[in-house]
Amino acid sequence: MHRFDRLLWRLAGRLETRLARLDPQTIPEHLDHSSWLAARHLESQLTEISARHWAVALDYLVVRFEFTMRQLQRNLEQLQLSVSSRFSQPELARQRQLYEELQATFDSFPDSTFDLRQQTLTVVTEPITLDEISLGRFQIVLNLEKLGKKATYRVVAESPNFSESRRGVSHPHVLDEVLCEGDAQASLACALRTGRFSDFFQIIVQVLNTYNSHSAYASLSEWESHYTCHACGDSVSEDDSSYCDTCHASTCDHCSTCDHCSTCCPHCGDSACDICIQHCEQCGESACMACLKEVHKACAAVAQTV
Amino acid sequence: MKILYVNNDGGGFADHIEIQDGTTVAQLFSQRVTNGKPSDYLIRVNRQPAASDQLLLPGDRVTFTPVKIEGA
Repeated sequence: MHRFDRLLWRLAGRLETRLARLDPQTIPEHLDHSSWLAARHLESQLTEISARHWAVALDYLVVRFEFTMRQLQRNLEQLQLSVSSRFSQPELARQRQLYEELQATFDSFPDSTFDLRQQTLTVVTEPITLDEISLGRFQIVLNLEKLGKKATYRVVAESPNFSESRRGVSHPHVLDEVLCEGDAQASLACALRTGRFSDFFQIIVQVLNTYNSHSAYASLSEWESHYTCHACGDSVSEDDSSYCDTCHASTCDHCSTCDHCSTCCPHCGDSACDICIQHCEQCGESACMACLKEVHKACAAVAQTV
Repeated sequence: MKILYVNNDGGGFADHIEIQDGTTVAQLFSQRVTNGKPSDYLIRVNRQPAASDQLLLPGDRVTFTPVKIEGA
């Protein structure tokens, strides 16, 4: 039998109020077209890279293409949930239920803490080891003020064992303390919306304990080695490598330039590798994938005035 | 009888459902998870590990969470 925790009860009360205010339709109501556009873009890149016979880059792009298609699939699932939720609103969690939920979270994760003033709930995982690489324990810091918004939580390595092959990667699926949720995205949103915090943290723990080698920020096989150029596959030291701000990949100096461009996007100045620098089909101008949309718009505007 | 059934696979599901009296954890799993094995899931009743032959009671909360959930 738990001793009554007055502070936890107050936290549960605040959560009840916050969850009741959540817009029940926080998941997108419309289909996100960016995944579809990204898939089309990757398809054209695959054609180009295939023509250059860059086998390693081709393998990398195939993986990104598969990931993008799965994202598209998830967007469709989210849209389906959104339509369904209009007709069946989830039962609002009451203070007593939330209090029990929080107690269950602390029972499952004994090193967890909460900060009423900062409005954070922090769960600490057991040490995580994937493919014999020790990654240590992680803190999952949930910001309760950001419920219903983006970036609700961070995944912070307590004693980081960062990947040698990609900066900021403390876990194959965590970049700069942000977890790429993958297959967990919809179930995490569902758990938070209904106040099932113990489920929420458990799902994240399961993701952290699963290695998806086909879609990792950094592979475990290269975790403690030099960089591998993501375009041509050559091994390259940190001094001889360039970092692409767009795809967060490292490339050798040869692959960070091409016949038409420098190592930077001429529009935003971000470094970009040959895979991420694209050319407008109409005007031939080069740009990174993010700036290419603006280039296309400008071309379309010129075409209309002619 | 009514229980709270939570499945954290795929899109996630959490709602009260009606089940027959005398349903065990294993029976509920086979009814609700058609393409999965119990060993691939964390199975909890009222947030505690449960045996497959455990009889479910009215008001129980049953949760199935995949052991392997792939990030990206």
